[in-house]
Amino acid sequence: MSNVDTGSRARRKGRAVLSIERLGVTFPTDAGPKPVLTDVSLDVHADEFVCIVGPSGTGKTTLIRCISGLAHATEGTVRLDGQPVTEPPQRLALVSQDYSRSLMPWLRVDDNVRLPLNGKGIPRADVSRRVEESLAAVNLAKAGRAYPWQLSGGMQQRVAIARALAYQPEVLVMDEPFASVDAQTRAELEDLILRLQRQTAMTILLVTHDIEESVYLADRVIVLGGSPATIHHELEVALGNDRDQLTTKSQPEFVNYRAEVLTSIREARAIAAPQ
Amino acid sequence: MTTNIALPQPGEVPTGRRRRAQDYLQHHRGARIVAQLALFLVFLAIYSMLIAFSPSLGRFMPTVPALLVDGFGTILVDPGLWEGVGMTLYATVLGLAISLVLGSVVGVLLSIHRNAYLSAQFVIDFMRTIPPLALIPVGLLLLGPTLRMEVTLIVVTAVWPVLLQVHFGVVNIDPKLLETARSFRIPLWRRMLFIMAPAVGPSFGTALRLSATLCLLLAVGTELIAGGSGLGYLVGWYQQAFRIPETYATIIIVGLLGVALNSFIMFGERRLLGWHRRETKAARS
Repeated sequence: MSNVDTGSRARRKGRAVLSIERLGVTFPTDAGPKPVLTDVSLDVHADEFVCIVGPSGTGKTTLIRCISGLAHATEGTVRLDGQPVTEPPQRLALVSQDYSRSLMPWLRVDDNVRLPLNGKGIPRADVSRRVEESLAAVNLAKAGRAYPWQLSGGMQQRVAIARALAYQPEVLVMDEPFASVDAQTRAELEDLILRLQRQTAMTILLVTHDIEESVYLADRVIVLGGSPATIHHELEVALGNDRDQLTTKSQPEFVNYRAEVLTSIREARAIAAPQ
Repeated sequence: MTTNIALPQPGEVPTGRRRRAQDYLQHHRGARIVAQLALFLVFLAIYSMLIAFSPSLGRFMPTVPALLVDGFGTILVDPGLWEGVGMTLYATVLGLAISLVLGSVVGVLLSIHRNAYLSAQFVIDFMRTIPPLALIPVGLLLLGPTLRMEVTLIVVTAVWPVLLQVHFGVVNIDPKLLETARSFRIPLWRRMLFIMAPAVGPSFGTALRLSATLCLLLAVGTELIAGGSGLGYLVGWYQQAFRIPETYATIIIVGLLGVALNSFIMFGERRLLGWHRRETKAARS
């Protein structure tokens, strides 16, 4: 266990923005009800970056869908700012893995970013400013008039991130956002999202299957495991505010954290599939 | 690390000079028109040769000069032709418009629940497979040789492709798009207008093209069999009067009307659905 405090970022004294209480999800199947998640309790604080990792098929996406109000839990509650989540909340934005399927192919990039802001009573000038600023924040200021399908995968995912930023959420939820881009782009997007988080003080909840990514990005890593899945392990990542692909990843603390997450995932898998 | 190793694929598109030669007509409009005209002239030559070498065919097929002088020369100056064009076009467009609205509404309604479509499936399949021309006698009996009968028959025929295309267009909208809209709390009516409608656009375009052709076919067919007015009626009238060049010229006018209608639709489609064509192209390359 490495708990060398090189400056824990998480301001845990703050209130819990997102609070999950004893959440359980059971899917009806032909072979009877199948529990997917059970007894998941988690508090995410303002300005915190939380990564959720776990073996594939553990129900990470189900958890994300419950948090973002797209699916209903069978038991327990999800609260955002104290309000129970029953439908997609106003103060939450979701970025999913399938960037190409979440952008409207008939809209240009800037219109895609603008789409969620239209019809919400926001003054036109404000909408345009927010669109411009968020495209600039993801380094796509010049790509506004292009169509999404004219851009590379990494650029498309940046458009999806810009759309979420323009929405000005309190909580940004990302479901394996960098899973379908190449390694180089992935590293760039990781740094982009870290920079944005530091600038905007957004609360970010990110699901990934990449252990290294989870440690690199997070203030806290949650390992989901078991069948039905629950929180198997939880660790604080005290790697400080400024992280760098090269230096952070070669720090002994980083290596220790990574080993801890990996061990925990192996344990979780062993529980899920007993011999 | 990503590497760019281009492995030759089976059936790979030729590159370089061969590719340029292959795509020449696609990229040069002038050359394309020349090629199409040349082929048309070949067609005319074969037609003329057929008449020249077979006197029996020649009795019922006008020579090219006769077609131009006696055929077009007569009908183009006849106000009856323009009246006929107007009537046929009016019936076609009216029938098409009603089919599009009715087909879209029912198509959307059938998409609300899976059971709705499954229940309606038999009626739809039965109705759309009835050869439309077989309905003309019924239409005549019920409504007589009127515009109303013509439009009714057009709608009864042309509404099915619209209905099916719109239904499957709605059902096949990527759920991810709708979920994205929902997660951003886009209100239902905005979702319908700005996400569902454009997403159904490409299949609606296909429906429009299929239906327009059917509408013109039905308009002319009905006019020909039921009489009354319009281009179909004119074709029948010239034929019974044994005025062969005029018959052929009128048929060609009908064909040109179809081409014009189709080009108009294609133009609109290119303007509104250009994104879809280019997206598909981008996905393929």
